Amino acid sequence: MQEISLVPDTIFSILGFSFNNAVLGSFIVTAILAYITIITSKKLTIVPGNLQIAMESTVSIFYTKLFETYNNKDLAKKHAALIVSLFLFVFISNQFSLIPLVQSLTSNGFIVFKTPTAHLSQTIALALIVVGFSHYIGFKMSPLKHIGNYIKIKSIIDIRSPKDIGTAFLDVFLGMLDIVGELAKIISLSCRLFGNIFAGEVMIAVISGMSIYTSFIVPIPFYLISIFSGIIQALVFAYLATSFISGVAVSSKANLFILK
Amino acid sequence: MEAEAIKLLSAGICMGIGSIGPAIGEGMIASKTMEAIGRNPKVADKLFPNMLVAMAVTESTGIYSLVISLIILFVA
Repeated sequence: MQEISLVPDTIFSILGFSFNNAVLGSFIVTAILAYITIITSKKLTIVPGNLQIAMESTVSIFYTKLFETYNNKDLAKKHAALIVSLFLFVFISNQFSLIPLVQSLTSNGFIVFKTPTAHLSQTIALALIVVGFSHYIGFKMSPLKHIGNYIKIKSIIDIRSPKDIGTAFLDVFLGMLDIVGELAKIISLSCRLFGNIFAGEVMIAVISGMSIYTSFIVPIPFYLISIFSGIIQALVFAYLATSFISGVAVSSKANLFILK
Repeated sequence: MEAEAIKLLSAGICMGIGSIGPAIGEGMIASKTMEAIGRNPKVADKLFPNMLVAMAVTESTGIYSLVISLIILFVA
């Protein structure tokens, strides 16, 4: 039976940076993504072919949602670019185990290419990108109002009578809880994606390793569940990223009509 | 008891108790969706993707307990 370990194995290291299974797998995913997008963008026609239809509908799922929230074309286009690339990266890397022959390469007994999102480091990086970007957008749009959502100085300044002290105290406490809520967002985004994909791989490894009779036809339902849950988790990740980014951008502006 | 035995026992209990809540929640989501589809079958195509997204978010706490039990088994 195979060794199941949470920590990926280092394959080689250059100048002190160590490359492990997950990073090499994500290089392959990036190469596939680049190939698909270059082929699609070379043959753009008015009457679209199949690949162009697929890519356009993927972009429009998130672009229409953002456009309804912002009412501003340029901002929605910029944010949709980030969210659609996150969605495509997570989508393709969840199905990494379907690519044939890649996972048979071994060097010194370690498998060289593994599913990228089955490692906690990769998903934490993606979640940090999403939450960090939303705070950067909020900070750039109006710094004082963005910080004022978390550290509520206004309610302390507005104390007029003894019963306002209770309200001010409650507001400051809720502001602190919001800061903890941001950390919880990072942890929940990363752990949800990691847990689903890693659990799928562990299930298949355990079932294929049980005996020789269960290695061939019995894992098929588990593969189907893995594929389905990979698609759903990619969608959920992108939807949550959309709601985080657009939520912060809308709440940092007084008036929706002057978003720029 | 030795540490190895407690590790195995606690990983099992953690995953067992942690899967009660999400299962109940997802059943509630599915039943409300079925009710709504039964009342108005034309909106079935609009309700189904939203139901899947809601189920995936509800499942997160079950996944958190899975991550904790994996950490107990393999890292500590």
